[in-house]
Amino acid sequence: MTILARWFGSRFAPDSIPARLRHDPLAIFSFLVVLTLILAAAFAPLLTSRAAEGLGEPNPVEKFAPPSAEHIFGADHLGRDLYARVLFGGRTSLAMGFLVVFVAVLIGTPLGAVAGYAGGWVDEIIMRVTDIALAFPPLLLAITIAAALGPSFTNAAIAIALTWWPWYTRIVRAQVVTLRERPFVESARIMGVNGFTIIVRHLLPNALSPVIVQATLDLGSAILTGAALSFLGLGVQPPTPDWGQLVSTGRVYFPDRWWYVTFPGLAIFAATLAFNLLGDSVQDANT
Amino acid sequence: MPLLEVRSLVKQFPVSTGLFSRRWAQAVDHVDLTVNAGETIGVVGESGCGKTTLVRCLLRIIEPTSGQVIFEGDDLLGLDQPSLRAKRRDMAIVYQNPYLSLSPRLAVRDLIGEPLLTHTSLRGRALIDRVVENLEAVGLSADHLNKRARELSGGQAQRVAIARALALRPKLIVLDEPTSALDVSVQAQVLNLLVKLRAEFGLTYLFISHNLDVVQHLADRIAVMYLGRIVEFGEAEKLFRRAHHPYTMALLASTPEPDPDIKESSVALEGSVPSLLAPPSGCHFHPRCPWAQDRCRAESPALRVEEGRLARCHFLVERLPALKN
Repeated sequence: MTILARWFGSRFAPDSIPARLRHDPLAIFSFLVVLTLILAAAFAPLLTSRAAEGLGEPNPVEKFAPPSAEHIFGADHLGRDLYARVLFGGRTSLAMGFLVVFVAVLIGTPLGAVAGYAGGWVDEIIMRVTDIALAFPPLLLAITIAAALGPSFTNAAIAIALTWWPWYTRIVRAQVVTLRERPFVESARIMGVNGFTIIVRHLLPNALSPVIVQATLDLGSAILTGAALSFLGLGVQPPTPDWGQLVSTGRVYFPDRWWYVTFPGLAIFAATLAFNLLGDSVQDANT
Repeated sequence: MPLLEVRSLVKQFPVSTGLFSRRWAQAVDHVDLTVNAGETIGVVGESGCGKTTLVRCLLRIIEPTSGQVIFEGDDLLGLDQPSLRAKRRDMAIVYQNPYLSLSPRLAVRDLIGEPLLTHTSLRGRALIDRVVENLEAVGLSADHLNKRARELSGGQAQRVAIARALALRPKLIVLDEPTSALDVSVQAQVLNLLVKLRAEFGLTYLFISHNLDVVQHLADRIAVMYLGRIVEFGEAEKLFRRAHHPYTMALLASTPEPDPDIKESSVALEGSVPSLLAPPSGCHFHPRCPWAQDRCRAESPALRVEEGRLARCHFLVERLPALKN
């Protein structure tokens, strides 16, 4: 913990968000949980001797083996080790979360910056489109888009991102609108700096902290939504594992084979909670 | 040809007074102003008199309602965006508070480098050399290149803002209360720096301030503004020796006189600045003017030339002899 704190402390300005977070035990705890989940997913093949089962190869002899020293999370209906399945499922679920947030930020931020800086009819058009996108219930819209595009990892990520970007547009626009009137922006305009450079050099760097807060908070929900789409069969297709899809398949065997839904469910729970706690802390540190 | 000529500039702001009703606040009311190359013009007035709005209009940060701003022979208000951007190479502004006017996340090298990057082809080593040259011109050094504004003292940060404004050797530098946010001890240093730079580079300043003492230190000619109008405009020295407009007199009287042997004038300002939404009838200054007559309440005076100076008062000739004693 102290090593971590020192590493943080030496690398960031005294009043920056990371520097403040190191005084927050909950932030450090949730950061460590997140880090553990990411590392476990990244190094999944090294953490289990049953990597092939994790990726989907059946092992019928051990069908529904309960949790034991051999299978700490038990085995599923095809005899695959659930610990390996959850490890490899983490790759899909976490990647889904990051991809969704990344794409949403990528779409939402420039739109919000342009709307806020340009104002007038440009602002009007962008924000009305944003309002329309926000008018749909997000999960329903994501389901519709995913169903239209066909079930796959990428399509599910696109579907969720398409329902999420408006939040980033709103956040960034609100920031840019207040920053636009600041003397340092005016001073750049008087010097003849063009609009694009003003947005990139003067506005975005000062508008990003609430985006980072929102993105951290959203990572948890993105994983959850990704799991929901997989649960409905609109995400990753078997045999590739995904936490949502594991829960979906396993729920049929509950409560007799309780371990099948419990461990992937716990993974979703841990990831969502840790990202949300981290997001809350980042938000507190930002104010 | 003057460097800058402002003709009949008007800026009105809409102010909503109810759900469907709005009124217009005339922040700048038919202002005429000329600035010759190499000259320093001071614009003084209480806060809310429209001096900052005037500057924002003539730099075209906000669009004026009507009028002309002729800069080097071109009407800025008629230029399209690309030509305006090119024209902006020749103008710069220094704001009151350097911590607000310098981009918080940029280092000094980028702050001063920005105008050079925008308007010249200097890059890399040559760019940094030019940045350092400008830093040295304002009394800082290459040691400050990687600092951000918040790591500098107020005086240092304002010097960086001046170096940034100076980088392209613009023809016109607008100084919007450049010393008001600084410590008193630093104010004089910054003023002296401005005087030094003016001599060194032949700069033209448009100096906005509410502080007559500061303006006296720099200005060749002074424009006094009241409620969006210029009420007196003339040579600084003469204006300080004897004001023509009662408002100028009151401003001069409100400045503390350090020499106890000089008897302070007894003209004092009473009341406060009226609302721009409901300016007084006739002469805007009449509710606070000790000489106000019925005519002042009814009729708005025009700017008249008197002893080589412009003043907006009905009673110049009649009143002047009486005030000599």
